[in-house]
Amino acid sequence: MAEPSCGDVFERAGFERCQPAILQPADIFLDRSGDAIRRRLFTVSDAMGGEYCLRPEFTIPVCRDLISAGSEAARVWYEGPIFRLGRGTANGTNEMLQAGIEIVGGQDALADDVETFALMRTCCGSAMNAATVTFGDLGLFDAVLEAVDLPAHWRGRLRKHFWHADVFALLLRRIGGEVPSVSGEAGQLLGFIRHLGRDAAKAAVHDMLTSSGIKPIGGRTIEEITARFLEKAEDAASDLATPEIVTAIETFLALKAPLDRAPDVLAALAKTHGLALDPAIDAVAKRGDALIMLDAALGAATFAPAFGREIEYYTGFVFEVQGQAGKLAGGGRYDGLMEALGARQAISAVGGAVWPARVQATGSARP
Amino acid sequence: MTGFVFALPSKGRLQDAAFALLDKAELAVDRSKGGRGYTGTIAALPDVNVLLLSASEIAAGLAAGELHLGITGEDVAREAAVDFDHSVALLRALGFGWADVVIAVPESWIDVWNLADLRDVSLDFLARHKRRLRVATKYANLAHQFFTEHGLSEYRIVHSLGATEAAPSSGAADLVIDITSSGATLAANDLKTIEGGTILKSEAQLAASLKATWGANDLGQLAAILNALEPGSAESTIKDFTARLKVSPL
Repeated sequence: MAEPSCGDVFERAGFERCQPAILQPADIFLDRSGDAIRRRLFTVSDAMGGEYCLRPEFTIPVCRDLISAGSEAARVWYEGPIFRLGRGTANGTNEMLQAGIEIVGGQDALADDVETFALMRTCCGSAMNAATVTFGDLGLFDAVLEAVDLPAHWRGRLRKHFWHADVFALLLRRIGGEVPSVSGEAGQLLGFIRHLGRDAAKAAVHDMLTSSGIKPIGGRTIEEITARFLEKAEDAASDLATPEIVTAIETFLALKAPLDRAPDVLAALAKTHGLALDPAIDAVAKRGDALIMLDAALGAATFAPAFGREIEYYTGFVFEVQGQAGKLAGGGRYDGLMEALGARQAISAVGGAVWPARVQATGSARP
Repeated sequence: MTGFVFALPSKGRLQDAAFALLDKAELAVDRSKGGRGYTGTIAALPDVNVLLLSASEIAAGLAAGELHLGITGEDVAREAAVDFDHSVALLRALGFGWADVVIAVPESWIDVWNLADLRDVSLDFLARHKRRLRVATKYANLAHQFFTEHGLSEYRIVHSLGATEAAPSSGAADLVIDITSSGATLAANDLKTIEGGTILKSEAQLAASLKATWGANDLGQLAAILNALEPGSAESTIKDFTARLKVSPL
């Protein structure tokens, strides 16, 4: 007997179908992770130079529609093609069918996270038997950032660049003590203002800019240049060389453990590096327990705090199901996206998607 | 156009240097219409069709497979080809036409010394002004690739048709990506370079199209040109080139 269709599974669970447009404004996707995804997007322009794209995924289109409708809570499902430039293979991977759900504005994060995964698991059917499941929680990184002793603007930088591993690594090196040296006039000015009080330093920089004949072109104001220059002066003067923090962060990010052991391993790491992470670890433990109750085999699934970091909008629970035919399903929590897309306030959200064609391919490949 | 097509720069110092190079190699170009036309002939190679085009047109022609061979800047060649490695083969660096493609920011940004600063500023700017930094440039593709590689995502490209370096003064952009050789024009426009901000160190190249149709005769013309420029150099270059032709789907 054929597996129930994803649509049936979602409807039975009380989700309502939504059908966002295939054609989306390209801006929205480019703005999220910048022109970095430009190469995977299929873009089209209209006669007036407006740039559109074929939707590369459903989450952003669905959220946009909910915001337009003034909806602050919804349980929706979708099914349809998504478009991503394939990596030069000839088997038509530019257009793929995807089905999934979004739980927006839910009040019980733990329950919603688990339900999302459970639904994807159901859609994967017997393909789950040979699949590899990975879990993560990007909220843990936030907790680690709060727990270490870094200036606020450094926390902001690390948080903002977490999804881009190379840039993040560079930032860590600066925290580890590799402060770039400054030469020339800027270096001299730095040396000079280092001994001044904050107000005097500000005045000195301001004067230098206004009286030196340097023209303030470009959209930045003298005030903002001054403010940032002072911040750099503080960075250079302060003893930012804290390799212990770098070690703590690197160890944490390299961590991988079976789901059922993850809380213990995390607690041990927190103790070793003197980090107060109890509430965050507790949440991981509770969710892990709920997932294992759903399916005992998940106790052996890998839990990795760095997992899912390259998706720029995930903020918490993240998961992926890998099968022989490739990624069968994936998803995660993205609590910041609705507000970023224009909702009046922060709205919690979690979702998951499955690739039905790959699930079927895996199923039929089994003896 | 049937037959082997060899494109040369139609004006400026690039043209002078290219013609001088070919002269020296006994491949002097006779330009039609009293030296002002857009076609030419090379006495030693009667089967070669010479076209005179702008450096950008040569780059675009190579990328599209409309020309076999051309002399043009590496900067425009890379900019014109979306999938450069499968479209254009750089056969010989020619030792002239030096220009660096660089990021240049206003001199007044005394807090911006390197790429890391630019990254920070791009985030700070967005938060403060609710819009992204605008980058004026002719090199949109090079800019996107470079910024992606270096984790800079909060920017918008403003396509520049003319004097790119005047864009910040006129308010059309906040910073620029442009070619510079002496830095004099940058300084004159109150701009400065930043550490790590060199996107490409470009020079004139003898470049061949991986998208054009190459018959035995065409390869023969290429060999003749290569050997005229540097005796004995054709064999290994042609060998590598044909190998690359095989793996670059048309």
